[in-house]
Amino acid sequence: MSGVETIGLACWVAISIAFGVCRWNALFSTASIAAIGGFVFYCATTDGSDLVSCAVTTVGLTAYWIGLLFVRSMISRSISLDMLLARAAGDTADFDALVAARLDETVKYKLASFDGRRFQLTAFGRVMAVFLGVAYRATGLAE
Amino acid sequence: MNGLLILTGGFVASALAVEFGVRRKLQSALGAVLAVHAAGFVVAAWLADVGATAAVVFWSGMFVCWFGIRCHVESSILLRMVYLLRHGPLTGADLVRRYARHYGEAARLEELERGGLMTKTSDRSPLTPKGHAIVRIATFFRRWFGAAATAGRSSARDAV
Repeated sequence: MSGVETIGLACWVAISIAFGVCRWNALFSTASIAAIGGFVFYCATTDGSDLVSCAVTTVGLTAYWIGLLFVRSMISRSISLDMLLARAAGDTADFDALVAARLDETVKYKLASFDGRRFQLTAFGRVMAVFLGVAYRATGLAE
Repeated sequence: MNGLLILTGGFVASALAVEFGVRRKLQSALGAVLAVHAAGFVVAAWLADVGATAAVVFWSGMFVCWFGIRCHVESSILLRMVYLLRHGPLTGADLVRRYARHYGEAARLEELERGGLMTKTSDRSPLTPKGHAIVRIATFFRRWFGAAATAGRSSARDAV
């Protein structure tokens, strides 16, 4: 294993540990960016003979950080997980209430506006809807 | 940079193979997804002239990123609501009703059963050992991350 690979693996382990240790996303991202930045800095100080490993590892570490952010979001917000946890506690989750809780988020994230009665997409929401239409069709998830 | 291109190509090919070959929600077909990617990784890493450790770091990172984004697109309620609003304004109740029709409680329970996390019987403890393991892990992380599963429910209920 070359020096670049060893440092790359150490950064991967550091991001994995940060995933479990850092309670807040901002802290996790700071730690991950520091690890990726440290790796890139290390690569810059080498003679450039292992450039491909540097590029491959940098892409992998960056993707790993972004992916783990999504995993954190899934663990914290998944309704299927809510339902599973409720079942484990011998209870049933109020599905409609769980879904309804996301209505406010369309407004919070400026995807939709609420006039007191109805929700309507904002310009940003309309752009997102176009991208989502493409993504849903490509993955066979469109209605 | 051929190594990076070959690995990227191998990863994209594996992702496409999953897309066309696995016709279930990714979360409930994890075994098949991992098998496809393991095969893709072995071939791509063999063809690419890159160190094994760098290739593993690349593939694991890309896999987690792809899996996270794909599952999010697949299951995100927020994104689906934005999509449902594309034809015009809707009331909160309409949105919830349409969402439930698309991927309601029954469909989610069915997916949990298909993923081997729950059994079909509705006795007092319908979770499988795999389901219990997921619950333990999720409970730990939710407590640790400080996630409030019930946050925001009351105000949203008003909208409905």
